[in-house]
Amino acid sequence: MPNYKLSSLEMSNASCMGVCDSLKTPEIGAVAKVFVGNIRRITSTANFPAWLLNLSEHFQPVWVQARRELIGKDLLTAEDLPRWNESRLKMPKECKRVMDRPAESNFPNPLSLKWLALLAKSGIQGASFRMGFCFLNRWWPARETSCLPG
Amino acid sequence: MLSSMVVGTWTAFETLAGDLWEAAVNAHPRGLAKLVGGEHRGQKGKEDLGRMVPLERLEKHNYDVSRVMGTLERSLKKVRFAALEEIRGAYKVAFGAEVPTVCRILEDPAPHNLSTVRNLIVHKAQVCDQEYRDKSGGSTVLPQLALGAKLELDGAFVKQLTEPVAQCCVRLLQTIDAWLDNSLAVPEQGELEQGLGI
Repeated sequence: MPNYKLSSLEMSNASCMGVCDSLKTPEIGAVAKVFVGNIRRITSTANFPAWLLNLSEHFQPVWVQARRELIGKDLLTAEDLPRWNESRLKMPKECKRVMDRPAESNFPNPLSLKWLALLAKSGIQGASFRMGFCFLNRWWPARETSCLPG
Repeated sequence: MLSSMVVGTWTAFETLAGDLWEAAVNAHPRGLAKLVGGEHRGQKGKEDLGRMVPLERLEKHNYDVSRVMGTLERSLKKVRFAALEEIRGAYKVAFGAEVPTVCRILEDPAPHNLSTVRNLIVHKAQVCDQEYRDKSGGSTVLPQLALGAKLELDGAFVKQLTEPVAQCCVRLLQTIDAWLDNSLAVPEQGELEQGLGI
């Protein structure tokens, strides 16, 4: 997959969000409000896929390690497919086991409550965030969700 | 997603340019609404005597156009905001004499770069044509492509295109706001005379 460098878009255009507060005339203030709304919509569109890609990047080492432990190797061939299809359902539990192992604490833990709360605060719109969590739930159904924004 | 960011940012810029121009001329028609700040490229060669205002437009505004001159001129297509040249032209004729800084902000290469890439996405499916080659020549931001090559977008490039334009818009808003605030605080000559009972 090509590297789209989506993380570069993080906090993109953040500098213009406060422009309304610096204006004195109501006429220009009204125009600025529309402009900031438009820019915010564009930026949130970019944030969601960027966030998902970042997430998969964080999660990948755990996924690869869990698969290695289940199948016994990193690269799968056509012969491994039946076994992989059987093991696929065990992957969430295996991933959790890998992440909870003290010796593997160097793995990023992207699904920790702290991390999720950080994401929720980082300007991702509530709706997009919930959509993202639906995606996450397919990978990690047992995780607590109480920190999610309303 | 990346291409829609480019197209969306251009639309936000274009919308801001039109709305800001209209709001400023509405708020301060004296000086701005005469459209004499400079040569308007869109109007070059045309003899515009400024006499063509349909009566129904005046009626719509209850025969008082002192606060809607920007709206009126925009709706009569005396100025347009669909392309960068038209935007620059519209600002030049209104603000060229009063606030030349505004025109200098629009001469920044950022809107030109964004407009060039936006046009390539919308009209040419990101495939390089002669027009792109002409417009990207000498640019430090736009990649130099061979004819028929596809322009690849990534987050870093899109940020390089969109962020300076958003900053340009902020400068535009702040400059016009400051000028307007200053101008509206100073009473017009007529108002002054009236106030003094002359």
